Amino acid sequence: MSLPAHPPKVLRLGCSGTNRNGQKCLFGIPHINYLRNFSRIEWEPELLGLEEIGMGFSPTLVAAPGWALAWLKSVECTKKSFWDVPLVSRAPFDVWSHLPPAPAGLVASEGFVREGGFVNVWTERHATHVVWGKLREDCAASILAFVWLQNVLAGGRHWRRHELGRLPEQFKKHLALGYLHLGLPNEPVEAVSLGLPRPILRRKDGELFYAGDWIGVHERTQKVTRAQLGALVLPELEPCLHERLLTFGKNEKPSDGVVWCLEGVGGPGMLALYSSAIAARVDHMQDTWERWMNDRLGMMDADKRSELLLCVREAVINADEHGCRSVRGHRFLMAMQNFEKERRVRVRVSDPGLGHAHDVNSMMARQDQMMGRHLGLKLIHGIAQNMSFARHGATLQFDFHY
Amino acid sequence: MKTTLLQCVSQPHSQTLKITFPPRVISTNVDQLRAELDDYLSSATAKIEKWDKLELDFGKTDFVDSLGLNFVFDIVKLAEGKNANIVAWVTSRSVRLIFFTVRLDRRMDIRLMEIPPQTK
Repeated sequence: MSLPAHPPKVLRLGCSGTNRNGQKCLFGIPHINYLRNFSRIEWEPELLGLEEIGMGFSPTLVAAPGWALAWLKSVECTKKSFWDVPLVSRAPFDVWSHLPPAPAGLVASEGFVREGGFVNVWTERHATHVVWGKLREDCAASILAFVWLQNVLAGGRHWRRHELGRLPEQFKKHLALGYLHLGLPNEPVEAVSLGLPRPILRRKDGELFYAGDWIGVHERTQKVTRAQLGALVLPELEPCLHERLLTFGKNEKPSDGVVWCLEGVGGPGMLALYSSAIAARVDHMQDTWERWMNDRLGMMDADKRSELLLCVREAVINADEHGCRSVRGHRFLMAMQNFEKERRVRVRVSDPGLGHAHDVNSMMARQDQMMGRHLGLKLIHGIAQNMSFARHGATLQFDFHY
Repeated sequence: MKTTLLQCVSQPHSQTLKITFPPRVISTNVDQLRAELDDYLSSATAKIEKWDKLELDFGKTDFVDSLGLNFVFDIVKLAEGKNANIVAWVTSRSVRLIFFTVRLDRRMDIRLMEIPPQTK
């Protein structure tokens, strides 16, 4: 004898009006634990200020935690239509069973995914697009936003462009995203923060620039070729415990964060975006720099490498202490480029602070140094070459010849 | 059990205090180094045995950062307060360069030791 089949428990989350079928309809987003009582959830993205519903059959999600995939299979986006019959458009639930493989070179670490991180990648007309974000497991709005986003991103070019370009603040509040676009060589690289209060890298005239924090501002960098860039930089998603290593080597797999190798070969530089308050982690960071130097600066003797390492360490500690006041919630950037032909390494460290025009040769600076204070800049000034400040001292740059 | 990083040895016959530093004198271990030096200086031995010569042994040290230097400066100031002669032994050329860069050479005698080839 077969057991009577229980009808699926369906929950509708709507904006207004009543359901003519008497179906249960909540006019808001309840607690996540309430959602777990239902086998299927229909929700109107309008609740998050979204006008459209997502639909598509080509998932672009390449990395996400398992529990997030489970939500993709039980939540669908709906829109009220005539006669109060909902339009339901979504990617079929079964497409989320097998995610497409990540492109070669893209590594989303286990730690990143375990913390709720996800990455979408797709290619259109030879251009690569990457969207990444971080889900909050205990936040219903974050999960619903994620479901909508995945359906939109599965929906083809038009949907992606149209919808990503006008995400409402309410959405960004619950699911902040980073977006990066790489075109053909000599095409501009675009990087947009959709709700992430984070710094962005910019390159101009062959230099790396820190463009300050921005939210939702569509910023276009100067032209950067793939060969120049070497790799995409995917900053971390929230100020959290570990710095994200952003390097170019194909064999480098950091314990945390995301690394993207475009060329599949070691690039000329290292870019790292660090969360502030690094005092306890600086040795670990230094190990990373040392490995990078050992791999790429073979021409440099051990003493020189040690001196370069010291300068980088001092610059980074300086950015953390003075630019970020050693408190959590800030970020600073370190970029290191090797110009092999010139036997020169250029290091640039930018912090979000106001900066200060420090003169290492001033009387006060000399007195401080005699007392053993403020030695970091003095060391860099004495050991490295061409030390200079930009942005009123919030960016420090120096060269190191070998 | 926490291992000791700093070795402080008093040599009463030559009135010398020898401080041997660890391989790294950096921001992440300088607090421990300070605590160990304070422990030694407040010990009965340090109070009984006078010294007028300070030997800083950086033979094993190959990396010193600004906070580590700050600690070295404090030791130098302590020795200067006692009118002691200060000699620093270094093997790493980069450490020597760092000391010269912050003008420590004006306040102590910095001597470069060559490491025997078999220990290099």
